[in-house]
Amino acid sequence: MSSKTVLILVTLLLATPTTTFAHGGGHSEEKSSSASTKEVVPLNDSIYAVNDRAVNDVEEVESSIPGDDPMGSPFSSTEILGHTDPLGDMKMTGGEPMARHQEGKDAEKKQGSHEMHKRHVEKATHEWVSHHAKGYGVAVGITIISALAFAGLSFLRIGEGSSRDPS
Amino acid sequence: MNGLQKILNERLGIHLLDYEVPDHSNSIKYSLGGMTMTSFGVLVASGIVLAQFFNPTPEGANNSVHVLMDQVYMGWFLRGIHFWAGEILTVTLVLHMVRIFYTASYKKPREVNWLIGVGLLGLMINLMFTGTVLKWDQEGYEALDHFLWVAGKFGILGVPLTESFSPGVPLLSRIYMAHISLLPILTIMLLGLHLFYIKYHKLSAKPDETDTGKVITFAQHTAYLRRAGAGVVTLICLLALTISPPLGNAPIMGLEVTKPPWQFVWIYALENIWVPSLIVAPFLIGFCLISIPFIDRSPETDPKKRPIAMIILWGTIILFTALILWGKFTTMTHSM
Repeated sequence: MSSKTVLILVTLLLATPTTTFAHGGGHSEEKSSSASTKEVVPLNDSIYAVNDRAVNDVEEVESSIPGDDPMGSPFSSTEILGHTDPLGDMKMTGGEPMARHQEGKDAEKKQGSHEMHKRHVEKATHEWVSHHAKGYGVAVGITIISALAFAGLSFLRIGEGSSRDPS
Repeated sequence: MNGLQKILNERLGIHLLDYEVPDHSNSIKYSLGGMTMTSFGVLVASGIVLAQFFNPTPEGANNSVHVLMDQVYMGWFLRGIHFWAGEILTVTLVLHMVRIFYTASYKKPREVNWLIGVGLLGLMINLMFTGTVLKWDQEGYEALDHFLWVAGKFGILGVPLTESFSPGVPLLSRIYMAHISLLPILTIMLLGLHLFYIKYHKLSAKPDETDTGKVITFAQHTAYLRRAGAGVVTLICLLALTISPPLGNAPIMGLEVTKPPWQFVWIYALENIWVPSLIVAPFLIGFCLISIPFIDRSPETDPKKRPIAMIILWGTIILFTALILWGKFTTMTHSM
């Protein structure tokens, strides 16, 4: 390979990152960050997302109890906002967050007790399928069709033929 | 040959399937690989549909499987088919390996295909493991917990397998990616190679004197495999129709109260004797399987003339059966 060819190749190689950044570098990054601030996509945006409401409830309860601010504390002796009961504004939807908290505390008490833990975990086992399961009839139909196909192939032996001596 | 057959032959090259294979190919013993492939096909097909209903996040995974089982039309049947196809695959895969060992089909010139088979076994184990984790109940969580314990023991080498490798991305989502893309792609690639070498080296002869020397065409063998496959599918459907796969509720972190599926329960039993066996046993077994064609190099294939190989085979079968039964029916005392 001549030195001229090497020089051209090195130049092209060095030029590659420059070209890349020119086409997709800082500008697009700026655009994407501004786009992300405009559109906040919920992480659990799904019909299957569980405990979404419970988490929100906990957040609401927590946000309604000012933490480190003594002026806003429900237990502060300074009543600058009048005589209204701050706890009265708390949304205790179904009492679920508290129940969960209690469960957590109970679980903490039971730490180290292996036998007690076992009671809380329902062991998953094989179960008989209920005849009332959705689409049970269709499932029976599919099974019968596959069984008939197997029976038919076993009876007719289509394409299996017989063995012979090597040619 | 009628006109349509001629047209198809010319365009699809179907006549290439007319090469000769031994007539014993059309027996259950020599069709176990084909049955395993059928189960794998069922797993892929049912898995594609299952993926439409699965939410691969720690918050939603278990719930989405419950929704599938209880609310989606025939969702229970779909999951049952996926589960039972995996169970039948395990059985036919193990029996296929036993047959290969029994008939010494791993010997020259088929060593490489044996190694590919070992690789496929490893991939299947990984697929089963990731499938167990994905339902994200107590059993799945504990399986992952054990896996992370092992990964932790490998120090920096184990980091890519842990959550700290990509903070902010749930490990469950990465396991899902492996289960539905990485592992199946690797499996299909290795399976292609496996089939190529079966064609290249031809199906192994019977090891004893009973080989008639008669032949059939490969097309006749595929007709037999089609029948065997239909039998496998029927069995899968029957099992899915009658017995529902286990599914627990979302896991309670930090607990260890369940036992793994029977495919992994032998290692659970070993772990009860000696905890590091969780790391040592898989590597030792993998090493032994890889070594077989390089240690046993004699051309002898008759099982009656290979007493040591037969002792090892039956000893392994008895040992694993005992470990599975022990792990399944006794209470374990160890903890990580």
